[in-house]
Amino acid sequence: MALTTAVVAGLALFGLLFAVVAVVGVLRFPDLYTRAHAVSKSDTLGVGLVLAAAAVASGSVGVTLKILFLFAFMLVTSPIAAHVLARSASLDGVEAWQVDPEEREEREETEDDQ
Amino acid sequence: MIETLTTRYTYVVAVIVIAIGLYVLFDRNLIKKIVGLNIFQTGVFLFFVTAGYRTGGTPPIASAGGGPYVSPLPHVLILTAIVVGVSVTAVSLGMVFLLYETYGTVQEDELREAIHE
Amino acid sequence: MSALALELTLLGLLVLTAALTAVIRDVLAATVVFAVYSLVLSLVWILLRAPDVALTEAAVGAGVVTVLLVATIAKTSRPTDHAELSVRWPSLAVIGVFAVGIVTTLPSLPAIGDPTAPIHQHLGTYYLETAPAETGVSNIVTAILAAYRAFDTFGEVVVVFGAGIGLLVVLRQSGITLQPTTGSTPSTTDPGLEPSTTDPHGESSTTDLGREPSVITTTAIRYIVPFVALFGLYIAFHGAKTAGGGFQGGVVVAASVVLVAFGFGIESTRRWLNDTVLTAITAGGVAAVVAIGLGAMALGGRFLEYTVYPIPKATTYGIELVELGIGATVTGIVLVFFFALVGNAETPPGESSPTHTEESK
Repeated sequence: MALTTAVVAGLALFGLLFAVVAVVGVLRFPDLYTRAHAVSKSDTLGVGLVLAAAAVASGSVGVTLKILFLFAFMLVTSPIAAHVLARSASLDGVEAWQVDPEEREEREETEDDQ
Repeated sequence: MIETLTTRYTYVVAVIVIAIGLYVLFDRNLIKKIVGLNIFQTGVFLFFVTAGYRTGGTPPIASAGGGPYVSPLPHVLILTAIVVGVSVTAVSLGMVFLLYETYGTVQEDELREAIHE
Repeated sequence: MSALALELTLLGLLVLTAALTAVIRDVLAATVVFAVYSLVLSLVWILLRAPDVALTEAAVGAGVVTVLLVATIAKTSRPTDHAELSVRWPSLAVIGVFAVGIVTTLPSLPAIGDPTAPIHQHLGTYYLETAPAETGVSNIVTAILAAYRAFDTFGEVVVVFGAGIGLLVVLRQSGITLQPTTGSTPSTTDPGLEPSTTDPHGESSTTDLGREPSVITTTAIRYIVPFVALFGLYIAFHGAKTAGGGFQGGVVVAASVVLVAFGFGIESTRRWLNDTVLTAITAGGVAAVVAIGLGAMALGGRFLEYTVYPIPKATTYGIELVELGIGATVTGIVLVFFFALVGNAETPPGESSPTHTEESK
């Protein structure tokens, strides 16, 4: 049974990794749209992997079937939630982050020098 | 006393949560007060349900495991208490909204001044 | 050992999120952290072997309360939106004394999980041993709720019903009723919004604030909502066998209607689910419980004494019907809370937009 434990631990750790990536994205990205993008992609995958770990750990077909439904539900609703957020923000007039034009010129100059 | 507390650490956490809820109840903002009330209530629930816990116990459902069950009585009480808590929260929020419509503020000190005028 | 680590981590997270809610000054951020606190608490309930309580906490605490709080913040004011933390030291001193005082009384309690504690001896063991056989219901919590302590549950249904009426009475003072604003032009004067579309009958097919519903959202909700509502009904019906029951099922069914309202607009949802239906659901639930109780008295028994009904397995059916009545009332009242607090998206007088923030003094 060490193989099952290892598989469960591996899946859960990968799921945790993707969830941490989502959190880092929310903290580091500059505006709402990029943050919603980070969360909806990475978090859904992270939750999916953790659910897979739960399915393997349970060992029963019934539970695995329920978890499949749960994952399908999350797969549909998580991106929809991000869409609703982004759409509401866009209709409210929240502006997307733009690269500062002066910074871009400086960066292009230093790249040309290299 | 520290040794006895190590076997009652969940009670200590419940007391800490109750204290934090009380702290938030002292806030200026009326809506934060209501959040504090909810935290306070959940601390009390934690205390109750922990009292019913039994080491090695299973959830009190006869079709799940058959071993020694945790006590179901706190669960029943807390179910009712959670629903009553949300009712209180909803009516309080309605009253906060009414206060805002009448006086234009949800901060306690400004409200006090506005009422005394 | 790993169970202990899990438990300590969850309890630590609980205290951390509660403390964060306390020190964050922005009330909206505090509400979001409160939702996280509620979810961590649901996990703690699972760890304490309380699945019914976990379901209710997740549905009510992280769901209904958070939505109502955010709605109230949107319609009143948000004094600051800076992410500052602040501690009020006098209050902290007071609660510190309070906490230390109570903690010194804790050693008089039995140790957590002690099987010889009085709570596991007298009445608890009676219910655990006789409830499944006597009531025909596997979920002992549901059996106690709906049979042995049915009168308390009846009182709680009346409290929920009264809270809905109380909220409507309170809000009526400021002119808000459950009727949605009938004007098709939004009250906000933000010129950047898309114009509303109108169909030939002159009714607007917009969501609140004059926006078109998004095709993606409406399609997805059209497919998801039946499953969510079905799941809510499953929880309510199956609460006698597994974890669940009337409250949790009622809240999930209400959540499915709230989903419809978010996708299609509150006005359209209220046209579909008008006053008559809401009143019927809410009052019908309470009336069902009362009818079952009075029917027992009419047959010569006491109030809510299921065994006097001349049908086989009367207790089981009585429990199921009472749970359904509870679920119906809870659904109706959660929807009343939602429509009363979230609907009527008019801006309060003196502000230019619902997201206007003022600097606190």
